[in-house]
Amino acid sequence: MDYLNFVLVIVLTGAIISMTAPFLGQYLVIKRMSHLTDTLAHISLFGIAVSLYFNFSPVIGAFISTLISGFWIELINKNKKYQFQETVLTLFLYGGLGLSSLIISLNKTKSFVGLNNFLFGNVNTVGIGDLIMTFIVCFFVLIILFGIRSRLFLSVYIPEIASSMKIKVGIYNLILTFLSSLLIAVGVQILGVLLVGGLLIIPVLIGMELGLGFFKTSIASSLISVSGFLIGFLISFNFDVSTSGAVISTLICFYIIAKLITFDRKRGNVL
Amino acid sequence: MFREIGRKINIAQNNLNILIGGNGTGKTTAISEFIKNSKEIIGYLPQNFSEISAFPITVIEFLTFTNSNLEIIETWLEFFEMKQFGGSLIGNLSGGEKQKVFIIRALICQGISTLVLDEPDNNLDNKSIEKLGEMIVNHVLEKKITVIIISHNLILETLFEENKRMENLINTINF
Repeated sequence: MDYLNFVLVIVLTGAIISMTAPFLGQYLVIKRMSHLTDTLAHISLFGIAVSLYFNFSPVIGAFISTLISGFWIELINKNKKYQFQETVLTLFLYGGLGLSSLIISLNKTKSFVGLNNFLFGNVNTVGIGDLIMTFIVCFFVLIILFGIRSRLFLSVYIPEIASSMKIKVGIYNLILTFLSSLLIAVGVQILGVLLVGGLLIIPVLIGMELGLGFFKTSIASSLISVSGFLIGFLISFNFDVSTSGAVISTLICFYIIAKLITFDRKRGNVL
Repeated sequence: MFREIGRKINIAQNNLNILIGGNGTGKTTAISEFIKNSKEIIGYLPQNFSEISAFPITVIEFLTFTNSNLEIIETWLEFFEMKQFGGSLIGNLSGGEKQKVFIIRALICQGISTLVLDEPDNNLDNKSIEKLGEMIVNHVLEKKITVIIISHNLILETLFEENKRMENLINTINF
């Protein structure tokens, strides 16, 4: 019974995160900043390394580091007149990795067994507390996204039109970064640093292949994401392989299937 | 260092302001400055939106993000003969159809007193340009809205000049 509960907690936590992630990820795709997830995830590694060094909660460490760097990235991109947004991301991605490797190597006495869990994720560390926190965070993210959807959409879709409507584009970009930091900090535990970004972006890419409208694409991406997680989890459970690897591989398979299905239709459009 | 970024333009309120001048004379920059300095919401049609993200979104969905009143949206879609495209994805539309969607988006902004259209006749066929002219005249005469357009289009010019009621309401700004 205890074992069943344990599995249930993992499944629920993962399902909630994967349900929420594409709703956030679609705005990053529209903004052409999908690598922000990648960058924030790598920076979270720095926060995790620091938290393991000083013995506090890795999720908090991950959240603080992603939040600060997320705002920092926004600030740099806002002040720059030229558009080198993705170059700034590279700076932070490798900066985060470099700093975390420094912190890890600083530590000669303590063991960093925990760190490996965060690199590729380890569902075995998920507990009931994580489930509750995930639920609260995802609920919060979804409520905010729903509340600001039209303004957020215009801010990332066509900023010049949004500002002509007196929408504070900068603020909405900050909110987007803030929510991404929150979700990544929570998702890092299950999917790990190296794969958490995939859960935000890949289901959206699959949804986009279906040629539906905005609303239907969001719902479809979310459903794809959840089923991808569940199938991936089942595979990892049965064959005793890494959960994050199985989940992402399943999603990639979905993407290929979606491409194959829509291939004919696309060609028909061209001709 | 002393380069002037965006010339100050004198806009005549409740008139039709037409900005004319060759390429690279800074018309679009002047308009951008005007919009930035304005404290009100402006119905704005930018010149270049070809680089917008290819994320799938239907025409109606896109328009409801500006104004959730479906009736107004339907009315304008009908006016520009776009009704059958309401459920189409913006990415699948032709240049002219896309242009009309963005013109409609500018029109349905809530509580606007100024409409700024940067080359609204881009990609439009003659019939749609006439519709556009009719809409602009209507906005100036009936709705008392300040309209600013950048355009070299002859059809639009003759349409405005031939309308007797527009006679004293046209302010031409040369660049």
